[in-house]
Amino acid sequence: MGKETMTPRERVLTALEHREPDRVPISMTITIDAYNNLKKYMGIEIDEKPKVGRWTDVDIHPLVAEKYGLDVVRLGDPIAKGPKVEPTHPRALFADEWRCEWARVDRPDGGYYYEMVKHPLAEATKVSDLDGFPWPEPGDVLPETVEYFHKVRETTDLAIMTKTAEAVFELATYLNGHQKWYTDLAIRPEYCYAVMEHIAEVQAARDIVALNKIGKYVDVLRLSGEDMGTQEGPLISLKMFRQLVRPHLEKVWTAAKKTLTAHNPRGKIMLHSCGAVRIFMQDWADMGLDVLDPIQTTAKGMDTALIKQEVGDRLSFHGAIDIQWLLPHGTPEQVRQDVRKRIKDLGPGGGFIVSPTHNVQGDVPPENLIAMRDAVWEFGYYPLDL
Amino acid sequence: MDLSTLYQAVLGGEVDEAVEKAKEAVQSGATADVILKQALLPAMDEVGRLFENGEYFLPEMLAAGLAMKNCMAELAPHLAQAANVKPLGKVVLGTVQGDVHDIGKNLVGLMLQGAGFEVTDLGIDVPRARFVEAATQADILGLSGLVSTTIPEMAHVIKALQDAGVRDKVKLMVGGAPVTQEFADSIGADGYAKDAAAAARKAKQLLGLE
Repeated sequence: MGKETMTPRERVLTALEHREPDRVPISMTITIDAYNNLKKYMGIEIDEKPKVGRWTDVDIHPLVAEKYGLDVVRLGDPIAKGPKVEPTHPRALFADEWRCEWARVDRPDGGYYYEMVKHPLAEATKVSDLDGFPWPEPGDVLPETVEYFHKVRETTDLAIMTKTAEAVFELATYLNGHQKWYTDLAIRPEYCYAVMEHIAEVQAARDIVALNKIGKYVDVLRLSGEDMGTQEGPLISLKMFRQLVRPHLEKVWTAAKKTLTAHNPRGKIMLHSCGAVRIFMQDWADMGLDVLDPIQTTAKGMDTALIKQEVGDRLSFHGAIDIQWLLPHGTPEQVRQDVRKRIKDLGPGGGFIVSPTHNVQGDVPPENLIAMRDAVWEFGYYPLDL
Repeated sequence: MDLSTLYQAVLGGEVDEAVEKAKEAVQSGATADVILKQALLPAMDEVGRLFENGEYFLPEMLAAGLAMKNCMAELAPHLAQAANVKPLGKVVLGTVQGDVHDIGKNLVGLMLQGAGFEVTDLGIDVPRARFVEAATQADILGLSGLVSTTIPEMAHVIKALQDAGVRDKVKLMVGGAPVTQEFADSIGADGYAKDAAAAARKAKQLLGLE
């Protein structure tokens, strides 16, 4: 193990400025099951009641983050949402402010996930069908939330990651239902454009409101998830992306980056987009993106060496440690070898934060998360010697 | 009868146009099986090819699938009368219990239908018992799962089929984002395909049709 000469925050910011820090930083998001397993494995007992998110994800407590060795702590959605919406679907457990309704789906072998069971625009087909839809208000950040961000900044050396708005393209998918949305993209482009225009307006306003309150504490702003790829290829063509999607994303990203950097000049914006998304990366860099997550290495064409070569001078990368097979089913030695490869491919010159490629699920043994960290400690010190 | 405009409308995902052309074809005396074999199935075959070549993406494939499906609905009364139109085989599909994702499964259904199979969709979050029940009425059983934590259920379904003594009555295909050929082999499935177009080909292979 090499010698640490930077605080976690400085390490992260340096890496994201495309310079080599003391070592490659580590980050992680996690679900409640995996979080409890990890804490138990590490013998950590703290008094906390983690708030379980929509994907059963939880914020990692800063003390757990420090003990494990994370350089980034994710603080949950800081926006206080509008009035509670009551669900109408018989199976739904709750409705979100966009009026999507969610049910709890249990697995026969234990564990559960929240899934959508009702989509508010399922019947909409025309631009005029959107008239009168109750688009959410931007909302606000409560003083206690600002205070919490302040406290984490004051009491830890961790880089802070948060997300102040939700998606545009992917949220449109939720509002319409997946199959309808992807069909509409082909047969009703004007309608799709209008849906995303409405959503982008809310999201940009939300980023501005929130970042004016907490922007000075935010090192990495996660621009929510815009999954644009499947395992085998992009979900839509580059042409369709440019015509229908890009204008709206660009509007939100520009507003977010401008507001963030006004409060924290070193702040960066990060897109989460799963799957085989290599064809979009040059556009994303052109649109002002700083960091791309998660580099899903199991998807077609997501070759880390090639990606670094193609766009590594303009984008930094967060992720690359496979959550579909390697972390749940691989051995600690396989994890070690893979982390070594990803550092070798993506680490030169900075611009890389090691992280699992998605929220760590309950099927990941804590041993493999420890192996991931230990491999960064073994191989991740600069100058790299791999 | 020139069916090329119908073929083009399905291929281009022009849903209303395709149905119009299908109606016109019926009115001008084309038989349902000719419309099916000379326009709809070849169009979906080409959709699969374009998808696999990376020229078509999900929206184009879904739009073409919808056009095909609506044309099939238009032709259904005529097809029922046509004695010479037999499906390639019967496929029953479902997403395993604990998982409610369905777009991948639905696409597989569309492409199988587009290849000439009769497709029954059991939906999502399907209990093992329903797959067991369906096994005796199908040539192929298709299990879908999108989450790494839900695909172990596929092995349980296979076990349930064995316990009920019906495993050998049906060919079993598995698919979904976290599913791999290795996983399919490890649980004793008969077939795996990486996407919907490949699934249609695999189904034909499993029944010895290709």
